[in-house]
Amino acid sequence: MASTDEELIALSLRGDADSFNELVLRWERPIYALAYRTIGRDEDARDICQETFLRAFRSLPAFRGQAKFSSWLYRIALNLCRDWIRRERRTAFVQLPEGAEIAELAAQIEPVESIEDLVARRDLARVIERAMARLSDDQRTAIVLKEYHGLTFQEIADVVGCPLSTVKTRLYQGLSVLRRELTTIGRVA
Amino acid sequence: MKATVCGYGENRSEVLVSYLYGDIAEDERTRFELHLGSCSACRSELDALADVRGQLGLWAPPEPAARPSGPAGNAGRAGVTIQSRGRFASLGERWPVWAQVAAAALFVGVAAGIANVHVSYTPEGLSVSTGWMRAPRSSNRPPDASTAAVIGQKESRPWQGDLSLLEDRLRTELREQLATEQRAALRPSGSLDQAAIERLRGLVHESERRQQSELALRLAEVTRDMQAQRQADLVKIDRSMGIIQNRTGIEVMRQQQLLNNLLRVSQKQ
Repeated sequence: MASTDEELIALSLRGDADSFNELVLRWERPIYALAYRTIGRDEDARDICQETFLRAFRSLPAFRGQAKFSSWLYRIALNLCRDWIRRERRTAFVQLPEGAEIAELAAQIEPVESIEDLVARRDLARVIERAMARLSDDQRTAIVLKEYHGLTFQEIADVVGCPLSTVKTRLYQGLSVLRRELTTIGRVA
Repeated sequence: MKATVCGYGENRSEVLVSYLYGDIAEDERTRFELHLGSCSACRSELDALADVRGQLGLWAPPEPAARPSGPAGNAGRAGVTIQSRGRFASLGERWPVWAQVAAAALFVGVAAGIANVHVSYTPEGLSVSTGWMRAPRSSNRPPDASTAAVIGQKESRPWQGDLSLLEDRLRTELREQLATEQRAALRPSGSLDQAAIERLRGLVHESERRQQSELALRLAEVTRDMQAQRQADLVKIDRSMGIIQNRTGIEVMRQQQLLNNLLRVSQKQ
C-alpha cells in the first residue's frame, strides 16, 4: 500500500531523501499544471514547479501539518506565480505551448488522432486560454484550484487566505465572465 | 444572455456556485432545489455555468518534458530530484559552467600543492615529480653520462633516482599516447561501425517524420485560418451590402417624401 503524504514527510524529516522524491513524483504534475494555468508559460511553469519543491524541501522542518501537504504546496506555488507575474509585469495567459511540442504530440498520436482533430483541440485550448485571460488573478486562481485540482471551497479559502464567501463570489463572477466570453464565440449556448 | 431576475436572496450567487459544484449543505440544497422548480432564470444560469465547466474540462496543460537531472529513473517529469539533505544537492544545476571549471582548476591546484608536485622544463624535456616519494631500493637502469654527475650527489639528494625513474615512465607514456593518437588520426573516416550508422539513419528518419507531421499541421492550420478569414470577409461584405442597401432605401424614401411634399404644394397652388 502506498504511504500517505504525512508518512513520507515524517521519513523525509528523518533524512530519507527517497521519501521526498516520492512526494515530488506524486505532486509535481498538479503543481506544474497549477503554475502553467496561472502563468501560461511552459518553461517558466516548470521552473516554478522546481522552485516550489526546493522551497518545500528547505521548509519541511517548519511544516507543522495544520493544513494538508498539498494545500501547503499549492500556497508556495501560487506565491511563486504571483512573484513571477509581478516580476515579469505582464499579463499571464498569453502564450500557447510551443509549436514543436504540438508536432511532437502529433507524431506520437498519429494513428489515433488526425491532424484536423489536433488543430481543433489546439484551437479549443486557445479559446479557453483567451477566455481565462479575461479573468482577474483572484478569479482565475479560484477557478483553477476548484476546477482542475478539486479543492473544496474551504481549502481554497485556506490556500488563498480569504473568507469562504469570497471564494464562492470569485468563482461565480469568474464563471460568469467565462460564460459571456464563450457565448460570444458560440462555444456555450 | 438574459438578465437574471430572481428573488432567491442576497447569497444567491454563492448558493448557485455551491450547488453547481455539489459542495452544499443538505438543508440548503433542498431549499434551492425547491426554488429551482419555479425559477427559470436560475435553471438557465445553472445549465449555462455547467456548460462552461464542460468546456473548461477539455483544456489540459502540456505534458511537462523531462529534464536531465539527478539519477536516472528517480527524477520527475519536471526534473525535480532531491538527492540528499545536504545544501549542495543541486549545486551542479545552479552553478554556471565557468564557475564549475574554475572550481575544478582550483581543486587540481590545491591537490597538486598537497602532493608537492614539481614541474620543470629541462633541455631534455618536461619533467614532473612529487616531493613525497621515497628513493627506490634498487634500479636496473644503467647510469648514463648525464645522471652520472648526479649520482655523485646521491647522498645529499636521495630522491634523485626516483625522479629519473618517474621521468622515464612519463616519457614512455607520452610516447605511447602520441602514437595512439596518430594511429587514431590516420584511421579512415569510413570505418564507423554499422550500429552507429543505423542509429544515425533512425534519427534522420525520425526527424523527417516529425518535420512532415509539423508541415501537415501547419498546412491544416493555414487552411483553417484561410477559411475562417474567408467567412469573416463574406460576413463583412454581407454587412456592408446591407448597410448600403439600407442607406439607399433611406435615400429613396427621402426622395419620395420630397416629391410628395412638392406634389402636395403644387396641388394646393
